Order: sequence, then C-alpha cells, then structure tokens
Amino acid sequence: MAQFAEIFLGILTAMGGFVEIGELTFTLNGGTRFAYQLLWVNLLGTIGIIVYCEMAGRVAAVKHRAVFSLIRERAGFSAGLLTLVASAIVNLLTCSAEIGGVALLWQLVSGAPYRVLLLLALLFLVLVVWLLSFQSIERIFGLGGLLMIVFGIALVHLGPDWRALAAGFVPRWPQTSHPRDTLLYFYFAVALMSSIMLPYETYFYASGGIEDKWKPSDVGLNRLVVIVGFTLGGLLSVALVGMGAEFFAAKDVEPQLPGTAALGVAATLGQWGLFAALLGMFFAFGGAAIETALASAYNLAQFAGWPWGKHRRKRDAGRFTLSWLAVFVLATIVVQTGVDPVSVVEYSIVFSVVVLPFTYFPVLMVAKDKSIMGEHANGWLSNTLGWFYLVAITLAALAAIPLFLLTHGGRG
Amino acid sequence: MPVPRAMRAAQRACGLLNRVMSVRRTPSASHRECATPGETRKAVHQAIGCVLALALVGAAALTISRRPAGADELRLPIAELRSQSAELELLRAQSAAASPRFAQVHAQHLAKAIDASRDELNAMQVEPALGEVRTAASALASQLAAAAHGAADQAAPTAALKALERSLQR
Repeated sequence: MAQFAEIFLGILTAMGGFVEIGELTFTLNGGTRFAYQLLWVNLLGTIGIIVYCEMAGRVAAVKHRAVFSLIRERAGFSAGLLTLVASAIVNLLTCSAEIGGVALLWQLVSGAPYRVLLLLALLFLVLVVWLLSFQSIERIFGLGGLLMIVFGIALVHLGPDWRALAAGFVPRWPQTSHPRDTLLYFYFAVALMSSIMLPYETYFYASGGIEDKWKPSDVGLNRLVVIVGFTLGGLLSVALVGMGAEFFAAKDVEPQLPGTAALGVAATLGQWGLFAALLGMFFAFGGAAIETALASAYNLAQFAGWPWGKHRRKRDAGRFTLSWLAVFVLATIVVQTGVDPVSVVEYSIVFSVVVLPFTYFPVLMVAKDKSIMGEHANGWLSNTLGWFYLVAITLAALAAIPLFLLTHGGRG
Repeated sequence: MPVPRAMRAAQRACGLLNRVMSVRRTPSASHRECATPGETRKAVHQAIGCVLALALVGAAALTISRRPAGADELRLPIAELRSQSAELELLRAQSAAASPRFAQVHAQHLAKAIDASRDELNAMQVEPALGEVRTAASALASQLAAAAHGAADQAAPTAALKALERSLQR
C-alpha cells in the first residue's frame, strides 16, 4: 500500500507539466486551432518525459544523486550556472503564473479582490509546504489533481470524432489554409513538446525520489510511477485537446483564461462539472506552484552543495528552506504587478526549451554509464530513446525562439 | 562608468560568487568542492555575453515595434476580440449552467481582457491603407467592451469582427 502511494509523486509531477495554468490554455488553444493534428506531439512528449524522468529517478534511487548535482559535475561550473539561472527564471515565472491561477480560481468562486487573494494564496502555499510532509503534499495534490478527469468525461459526453482523434497520433504535414498557420502549427508543436517536457518536472521528480528515500530495489517502482503518472497526465492533455477541438472550435473561442476552460465543462456537464473542474484546476495549479518553488530550492541547494530536503529539519536545511520561501514571495510580487499569469507562463514555456538539452544531457550521460550505475545502467532501449529525444529537444531549442518571433509570440 | 571601476566591480562580483559557491558540500552532492577563480571569471564573461545578447534582441524588438503595423499585425487584436466576443455570447448563453458568481466574475475577467485587446488595437500605428479597417475595428471593440461591462442590451459583435478578420486574411 505504501508503495502504491508512491504513484502520487508521478501524478503530482505530471500535473505540474501537463495541466498547469499555461499548459491548460495552451493545449485547449492547440485543439481549437488545429483540432487533433497536434496529438502526436502529446504522445511524443509524454514518452520523452517518461524516458528522462525514469532515468533521473533511477539515478536518484541507485546513487542518491539529484539532477543539478549531475549537471554541475558533468556540464561544468559555467554551463551549470547558466542552466541554474535559466531554470530559476523559468521556475519563478511558472510559479508566479500558478499563484496567479490559484487566486483567479478563488476569485471565480468567492468574488473577493484578486490582489488580496494573491496574498492568501501565498500564505496558503507557504503553510502547506511548511507544515506538511513531502509525502502528504504529493498525495493530497496528486489525488486532487485527478479531478481534472472531468475534462475527459466532458469530452466523452460531447461525442468526439474518435477516428480523427486516433489519426491525430500519426505525425503528418499540417493541413492549414495559410502559410502563416503552418508556422503557427510548428510553433505550437515545439512549445507543446517543451511544456510537456518542462525541465522542472525532472528536477522535482528525482529530488522527490530522494525525499521518498528510494533505494536501488525501488528501480522497478520508479518505472511504474513514471509510466502511470505521466500516462495519466498525457491522457488529461489529450482530453484538453479534444475539448478545444470539439467544443471551443465550434464556438469560435480561443481560451485564454482558466475560467474559459471551466465554462466549457459547465456547458457540457452542468454545475457539478464546473465545480469539479475548478477544484481539479486548483489542485493542479497549486501542485505546480509547489513543484516549481521546491524545484528551484532543490536546484540551488544541489548546485551549491547545501543540505536540502523536506525530510530534514528546517534548521538543518536553512538555506534550502529560505530558498523556497523566497521563490514563493518573489513569485507573488511578480504577479502582484498585474501581469497576466497565462502570458507569463507561455513565455516561460518557450524559454524553457533552451534549458532542456542542458538538463537532459547530464542525466543521460550518468544513466548510461555502467561504471557509475552498474547493473542499473541504461539498456539499449533507454539509450536509443535518450539520444533520440536529446536530438529532438536540441532541434526544438534551436527553432523555439525564431518560431516565437515569426508567429508574433504564438498569436498567429 | 570608467573602465578601472568596471573591472573592480567585476572582481568584486567574482569574489562574491566564489564565496557563495565555496560552501561545504554534503556527501550526496557533486564531488567538486568550490568554483575556481577561472570558473568564476568564465561565469562573469558568460553573464556579460548574455546581457549584451539581450540588449541586442531588445534593440531589434524596439525597432520592429516602431514600424507601422501591416495586415498581419492588425489581424491579431481583431482575432482576439472576435474570440472574446464569441466567449461573451457563450457565457451569456450558459449562465444558467454555471453558478451566478462564476458567471459574474468570469464576465469581469473577460471584460478586462477585452479592454486590453481594445487598448492594443487603439495604440497601433497602422499602414495608411489599413486606417479604415482599424477605425471600424475600434468601433466594434468599444461596442464589445460596453457589452462586456454589463450593457445587457448591447449585442456582442462577433460576426462583424469575424468579417473584419477575414478581410485581413486575403
């Protein structure tokens, strides 16, 4: 039973990547603009994040080494520092957006002023991370995030075109009416891939494995956790694409707000659907905020060699504790300036592509090294997939910024 | 800033970075004990490179943003307004399915987004040939904003915005 509960680490990590506020609106938009044509990217990204989180989790279980410790060792100080700074910016922006998202959701339910709710969201998240154990956080937010399944129920209720949905998993040249839309399609493909394989998922997952005190005998459990957790995340992502394709495209609406996503469910399932969607989004956004704040603190502590971990007493990991507190506070300040949370996270998704190769290369190098990992080193399948995805994300990293500029920031 | 002072500042930054990174490592962390002065110097050079690259990108973006907008750029806020207009219609149609508070607050969020798109449209400098389209779009944006801010008798001009958007796609 205790081992079964480990599944929630995978689910919580996946929630932070697949259904956080930016990904939610972005995926819905992808479905609205291109129907099911981008589903193959969801599949590709889901397998990619499974491959790399499995490797990072295996390294954590066997060697008790987390990702940023490997990055500094393998990539060197300079490249490591660059990755640390870039990932800290991405994490901070994403955390800001999620805190903003939580406040927006609370406002939809209570009608209270947004800026007051931002402060309450900060207080809530700090209290959760301060008071709850790592295991309680992953179980509560992982389980609560599963309420997002309501989007899948709404999609089934709408009666989707299953044939078109299945065909979407096969990559093909986009069917668009204008060359500009073809560029936009590729922008969406790159950004979707990036958002599914967001680097903080791997940082958080591997560090979480160490928090959960995984041992070499937990290598099989790690595999199960990533496959179940990320497959669930992938399915939710498919449901969002479906809602975009079947509901919002028909209404000519390109969702930009979390409330719009909930409105789609309300229109399909009624009030219970609305509240389930709002609650699911609350756990997903809250989980993503915690994931990004803790990931930032893990990265900094692992890079600088500080004692870290939620399992330690706070005074024994003072700088680690101060780091995640600082991320929450800074993130709240960012979103208090009045910036739109969804826009913030869309920018962070694009720029996180650039960090991906620096994050995943050291993980692959260590996971495939028999002198370090012994019998737990990568087999041929992990190595092949690892190299394939490394090349794919490097190409995506090169294409991301030009595509972002050519498509007016992904607007068209 | 005179060059020697800049160099002193860089040296101080190197020293600070070294102190931050020279802490004792836990057994599970990397085998490296601290950043060497060479590594720190490299990191500072990298940071300077990044700042210069960002400044270049910023300058390029500023230059591009000062050009008058063509049909492609003008289409963007109009497409957003069309989508927001359609969403307002959807919200009005589904207000019974949603809770009254949700419908009210979401309408406020939508109104804010509409205001932002309208402001973007009004602030745009467009090519002379697109002046009429911009004027028509601004009028529709004002009508939509009024509808979003609670004028229940005001219809959301979705079809007109869609027609304008299509005219720019040709």
